[in-house]
Amino acid sequence: MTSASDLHAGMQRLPGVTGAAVWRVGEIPTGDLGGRGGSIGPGLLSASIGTMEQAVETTGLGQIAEIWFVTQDTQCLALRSGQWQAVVIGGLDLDVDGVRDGLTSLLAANDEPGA
Amino acid sequence: MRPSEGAALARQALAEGDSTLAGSITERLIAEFASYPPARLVRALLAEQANDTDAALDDLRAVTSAEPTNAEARAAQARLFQRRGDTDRARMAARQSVELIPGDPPVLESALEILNVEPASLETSAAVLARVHLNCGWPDLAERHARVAVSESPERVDVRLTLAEALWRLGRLSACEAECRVVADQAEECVRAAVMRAHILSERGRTAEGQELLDRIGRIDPEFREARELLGTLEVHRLVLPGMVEIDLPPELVRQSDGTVEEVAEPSPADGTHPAAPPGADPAPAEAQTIDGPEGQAETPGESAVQDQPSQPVDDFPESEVQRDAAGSVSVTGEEAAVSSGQLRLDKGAGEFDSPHLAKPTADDAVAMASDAAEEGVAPTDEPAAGAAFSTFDWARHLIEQSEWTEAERLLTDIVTANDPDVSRVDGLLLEAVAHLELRGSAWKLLGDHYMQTGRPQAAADAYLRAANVAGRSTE
Repeated sequence: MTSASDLHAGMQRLPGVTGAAVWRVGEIPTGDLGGRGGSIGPGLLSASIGTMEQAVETTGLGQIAEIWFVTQDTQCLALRSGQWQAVVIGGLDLDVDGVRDGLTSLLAANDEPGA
Repeated sequence: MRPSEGAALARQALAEGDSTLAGSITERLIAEFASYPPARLVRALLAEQANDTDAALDDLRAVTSAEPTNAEARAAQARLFQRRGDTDRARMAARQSVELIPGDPPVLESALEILNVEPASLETSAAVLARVHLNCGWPDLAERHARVAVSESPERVDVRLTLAEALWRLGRLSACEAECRVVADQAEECVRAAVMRAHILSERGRTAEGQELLDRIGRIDPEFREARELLGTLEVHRLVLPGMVEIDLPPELVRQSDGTVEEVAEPSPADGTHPAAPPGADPAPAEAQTIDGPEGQAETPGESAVQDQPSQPVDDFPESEVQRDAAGSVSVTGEEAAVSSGQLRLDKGAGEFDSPHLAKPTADDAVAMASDAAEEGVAPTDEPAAGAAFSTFDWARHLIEQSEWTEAERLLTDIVTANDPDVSRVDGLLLEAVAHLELRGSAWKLLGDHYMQTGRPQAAADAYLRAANVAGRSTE
């Protein structure tokens, strides 16, 4: 079975990515956000995205497949693919489309149906 | 009369068909020591005879919690499951019984009958090899096979205990402690795991805590048979085993049992004849051990050298509580002597020894979090599990009460990582932990992890935010 730490290492190699976290439903998020937020950062960001997912589902809008946001110096992309959920961050020059494709492939390649 | 002698009388009465006498003696023993496994086992066998399956299984559950490697109890469980028509569980329990290598032929026959196999056609499993090697005093081989057995049957607490004991005999105390925790989570009253943990604590210089844990074992094993057997394999240790306890059986019960108490009693480790004691082990370490020369050491392969022992020489102890007298024997002084004066507090109820009292969380935020988490579907609780005696949860509470913050944090991390299915119990423990300033940051973070594991992201986000605030970081 693919471990979250293996996936995290792969995500960190995506071009322009400066931080990443990955987790499966029912597991603790693994990763780091390039030192931002310390050891709590990945968990906090993941939990916040999970909260937004719950809110969207509760309001009947369906399940979020992707979230992207930008701040004054950071872009953040969160994806769900099968059993995996992932968050990556990078600078304003991050090629979001390229990272999305790379990340989707990476997650899909490591998805284990029924796991 | 010793409790084991009373239990032997009850067994004899049972074998002779005198259920009334067996029941009377058993009830007398259980009134004194509610969890005493030999008495609970006899009561289970009596209930089995009376077709009271539920009561029998109840007693057997208590027996296997205290003694996960009790082959007779497993065989009895197998018979009862089969009687209920639960063939899968019956076969599983029977297999367990066989793999525990029962010394009593009727027990083995009973298990084989349920498995419906001939002894010759039994496969030699890793669990059996682990037990055999452990019994032979080859802990390194036992460990190798026990690891295979654990990977094959991770749910088998008896196999896990075998692994823990092999590690303990090899002196790998940290690894042993981790396995003991897993054992204690599944078999909360496991005496053997508790003895090993008590010894490990004492080896780490926390002798008083180890002694306290050892004293608590007396509730279940009043004669400290398992402790004597295990600690007897050590050349020296810093724990003091309390003296033998006696119980008074009503004269009419003793008279009915024809007074042959001494003859029917199981051999006691204090008599130096305990059958399960490894070869070469000191059979009667009723007090702190005497240090002999190398010629006095155990000859068992796994214990043949001083460096193989989990203990360390007395001289190595800084500020040792252990002192050597002129004759070279080891005595315990000061606080420990007071703790383990040989006088067991057996008159106290079991509940009095349960998890130490801990200040309840008073912080408003902890209360608010409990409320939030409950709204997300799981009600937190700060009640320890009923009947827990040596569980990881109790241990964590104990460490917190003792202000052992680093150890407590490590244990809390293990608990969260283990992802205990009893979600509310973990909630309760972590919410207790956040009430302590020294643990607050890490406990909020662990609470966040735990909420994520259990599908409660909103509560998790809140917990992580509080952790960040404690750490003095702004997440804005």
